[in-house]
Amino acid sequence: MLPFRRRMIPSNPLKQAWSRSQRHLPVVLLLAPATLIFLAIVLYPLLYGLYLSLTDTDPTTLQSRFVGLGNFAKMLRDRVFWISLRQTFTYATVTLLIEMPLALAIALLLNENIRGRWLYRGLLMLPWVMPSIAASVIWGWLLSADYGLLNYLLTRVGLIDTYVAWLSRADLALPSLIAVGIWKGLPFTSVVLLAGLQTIPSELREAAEVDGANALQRLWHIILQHLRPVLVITLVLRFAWAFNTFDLVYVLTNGGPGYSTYLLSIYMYLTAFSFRELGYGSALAAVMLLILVVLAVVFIRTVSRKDD
Amino acid sequence: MPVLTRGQRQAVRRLLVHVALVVIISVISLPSVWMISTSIKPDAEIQVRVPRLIPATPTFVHYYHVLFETAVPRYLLNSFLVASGTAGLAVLLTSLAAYALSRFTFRAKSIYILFILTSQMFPSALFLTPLFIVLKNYHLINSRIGLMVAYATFAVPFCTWLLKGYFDSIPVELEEAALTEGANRVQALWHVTIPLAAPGMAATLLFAFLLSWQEFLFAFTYIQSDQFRTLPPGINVLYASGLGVDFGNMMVMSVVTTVPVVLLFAFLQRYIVQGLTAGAVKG
Repeated sequence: MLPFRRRMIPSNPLKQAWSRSQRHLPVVLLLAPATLIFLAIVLYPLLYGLYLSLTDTDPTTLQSRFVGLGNFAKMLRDRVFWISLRQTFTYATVTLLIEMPLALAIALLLNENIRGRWLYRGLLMLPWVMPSIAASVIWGWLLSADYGLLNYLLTRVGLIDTYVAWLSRADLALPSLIAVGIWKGLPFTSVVLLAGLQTIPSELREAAEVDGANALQRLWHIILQHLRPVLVITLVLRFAWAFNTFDLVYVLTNGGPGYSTYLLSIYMYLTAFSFRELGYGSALAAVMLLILVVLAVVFIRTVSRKDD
Repeated sequence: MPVLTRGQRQAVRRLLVHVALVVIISVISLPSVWMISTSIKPDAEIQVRVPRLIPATPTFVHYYHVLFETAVPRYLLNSFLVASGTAGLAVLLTSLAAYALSRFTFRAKSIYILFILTSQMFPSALFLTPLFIVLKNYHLINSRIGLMVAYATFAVPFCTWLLKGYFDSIPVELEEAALTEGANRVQALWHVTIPLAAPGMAATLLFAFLLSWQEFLFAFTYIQSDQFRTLPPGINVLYASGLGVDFGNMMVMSVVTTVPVVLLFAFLQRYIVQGLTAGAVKG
């Protein structure tokens, strides 16, 4: 819709410029408040953060010393950085590999024409609605080594003989965090996939059924093909979300035992605010952003190329 | 095997779907059920070798302690002030921009939208340090206003995007009709579009509230004084200070943090799910 319909087209270039500014004035006025905030609170800190990554900055005096790419050179030699990087990728990838098929299964179940669907969906959303700090505290209790419910249930059914210290064993801490993360993220992923499923015309599925396609063929040829754009966006968003995970890890293990649950977000936080190296911390954050942007672009490109 | 009619097959299929969903949801809800169960147990029933789901002697002693003998009510108030302030201001300021993005075409529009969308992917870690310095320079560390400023980093892009979707869903023709009947643009907006967009705006408001309510990292980093602390870092401080093994009280705090957002969600499920999925599905 055009903002203002012109009765006649002015010929004078000065008048043209005037009419253009008249036409754009409402847009500019409407966009101004949000844009100013956006520039001041999102774009400016973003650029400032990138600048800080090139400095050594003292958190008390806020004095900055420009060091060029020094922080990034330091990162290449930093063993803890490489550990955190590897574990962040493990965390995000394993999370998605397990969560996506589960979410698809739940979405398919919820897409069935049954009574009480909204109730199931509402109950399912509970972990997503629950503040992550509450979820972390609850899981700290469930996974407790001495009296945790998980240990009790697993010994009852005979899967383990003795109680396991899930969060303080170097080999089990990261897998435990992945499990908690999946529990928290599964509702979101299922509901988004469900919304995607609901856009598939039911005639299409019925036609395939009449043509004699079995359930697996229908899933592969009709459902997944239709769902692809939604799947791609969900994968990218969920990967970014998992990649940035902080709260759960900070509360449950704080990176430990040893470095076994150091993720980039945790390492960045500890560097900037516990070890008080704001510059190096910003450099770590900049690398996180770079990785996410590159992955998102590559991933979306690859998938959309297959469409051609 | 007896031959089933089509109707019977359908019924069996539905039954199986119900069974599967009940099993899945029971497993997923177990932590929340355990939270409530633990919160009403006396200490003697909590750390035991053989725990019970239903407490033998239910008690509200932990609720009394948390709500009347700790700083939790103050944290609750701070959380409420910060979350409603963030949500209110964000919706007020972004609804104009969202309206413009929905109704007008202009050259920078696609870039504007792209940046709004990508900024949702940015790690909070990226903003943590620069915002810390900015807030410190303006003496907004240890301040609820400062925290609201930090929350605008996610609330402003998020609300703009959600509101644009709601405005998109209102037919332009209604506004055009008002214009041809002699109303001016502002009148058309005020009397036609805003009333129709009101449910969407309310949903956005509550969605932004929900996000601010559960935010931990900014609140934890930018507020060091107990007076202005919000609930999530408040819980963490109490958890880390040795109360962590006091699971009765910790579970009460989790209940207190969770209940307000669950109530909001229960009322607004439809809108929230719609908003949540709008971005991904429209893609």
